[in-house]
Amino acid sequence: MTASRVDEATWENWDEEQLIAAAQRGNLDAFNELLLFYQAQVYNLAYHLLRDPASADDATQETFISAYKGLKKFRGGSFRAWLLRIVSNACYDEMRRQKRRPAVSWDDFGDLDEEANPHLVDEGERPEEGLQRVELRQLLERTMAALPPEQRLALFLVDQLGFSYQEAATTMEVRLGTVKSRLARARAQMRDLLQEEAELLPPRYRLEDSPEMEEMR
Amino acid sequence: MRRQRWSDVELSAYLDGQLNEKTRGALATALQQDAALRRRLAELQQPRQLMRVAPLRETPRNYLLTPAMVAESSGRASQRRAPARLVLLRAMATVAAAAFALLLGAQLYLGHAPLMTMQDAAPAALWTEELADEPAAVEALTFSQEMERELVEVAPEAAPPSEDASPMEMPAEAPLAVCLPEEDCDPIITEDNGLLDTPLRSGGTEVPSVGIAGEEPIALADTNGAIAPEPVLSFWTPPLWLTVALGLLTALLGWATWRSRRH
Repeated sequence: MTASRVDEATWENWDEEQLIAAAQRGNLDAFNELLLFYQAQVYNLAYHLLRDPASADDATQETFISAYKGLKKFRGGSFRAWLLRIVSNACYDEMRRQKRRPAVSWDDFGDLDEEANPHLVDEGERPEEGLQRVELRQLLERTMAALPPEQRLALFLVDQLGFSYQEAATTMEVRLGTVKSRLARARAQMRDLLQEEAELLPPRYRLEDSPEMEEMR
Repeated sequence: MRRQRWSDVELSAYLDGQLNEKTRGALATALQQDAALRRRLAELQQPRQLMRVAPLRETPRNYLLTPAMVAESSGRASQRRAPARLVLLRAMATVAAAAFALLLGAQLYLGHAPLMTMQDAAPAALWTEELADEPAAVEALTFSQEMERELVEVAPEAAPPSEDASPMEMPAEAPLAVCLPEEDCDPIITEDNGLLDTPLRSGGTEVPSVGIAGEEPIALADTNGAIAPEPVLSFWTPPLWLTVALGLLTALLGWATWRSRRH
């Protein structure tokens, strides 16, 4: 059996380590399997940091090219933390560049993509639920935009992607305690901002209507 | 019992299970007894829960890599290294331009004269029987065209006489004697400079001369036998082809530099 057949057989079982090893040997198909799995996370992180779909798109593509070319430097550990570290560094570089040469963001024109394209909403959901989730996401994105980028990154990694503190620390290249404090500050600020815009939250996500608050009363 | 103001950092870490056992126990106890603390915890938990249920943005496309994309990216990376090449090109273009300017200046202002001195040239133009038998050696001793012309030009009859005139400035009253190939010219060695000279005859007087195989020997002294004592220094004019070639090289390097800057 050839090596590629071994790899093909493995992809069906999604063995990340084997895919990484194959990609490190130059197997582009193996790398693309990894890419398909992580591209949404990479793109979303880029979007949260850059606040511009076109810039996030470019950063995502560049990240995967850089990752493929630098894959031999990956020495194990969390692959997604390594991947997201690349994209976050790329985004910080882009933000510094934008600071020097400010440009108009597509966000200034509103959220064009999904409002114009309802097919992007999960088809498994009832239409009103899907709409509420999109509204929620838009509200969270607007709220998060008020946070400093470091806090935004911590919040996205831990609360949206479910990273452990250790993984987040690896991605952000900071100490564990820094992740803890940034995350706490980000949550506190989000809490305050969401309270100011509580009426914009879809009813099912409002704190006053939640079962926890009912219990407290 | 511990009574303290629990910080947002502790509450946040509690939500993620990141507190040590002792602190977690203390906070859990406090939460059971303090409704305000429970509310604070719930408010802090809200964004965390919302973030977890909020969907990720759909990617606008797939980012699958192709070999062409990887190759193109490598090409761009090598282009980013171009500045080192650009610096080298600039330096070469500058040097070439400076050399071209010098040569052009020499062409235009320094005139047209050989760089060789008479003394340098003389040995190269000796005519001996020995050398006459060796064509290769004779070839090496050939005069330049400029030297020949200069020496021929010293013979005009209109020039005024001068005692210490060099052979280059031979007056008309001291005409040069020429030993033609068909004549019987015996090579001699002069005592003062050790150079081989061919005696030329002019009215029975021998004068030093130089010559080339198969060509006419040319006098280095007047008919009184005065040998040119001092070398005559003149300037070298660069050949036209060299100036043109350097000009073309400068233009080529300039174009290459401009092209590198554009890309």
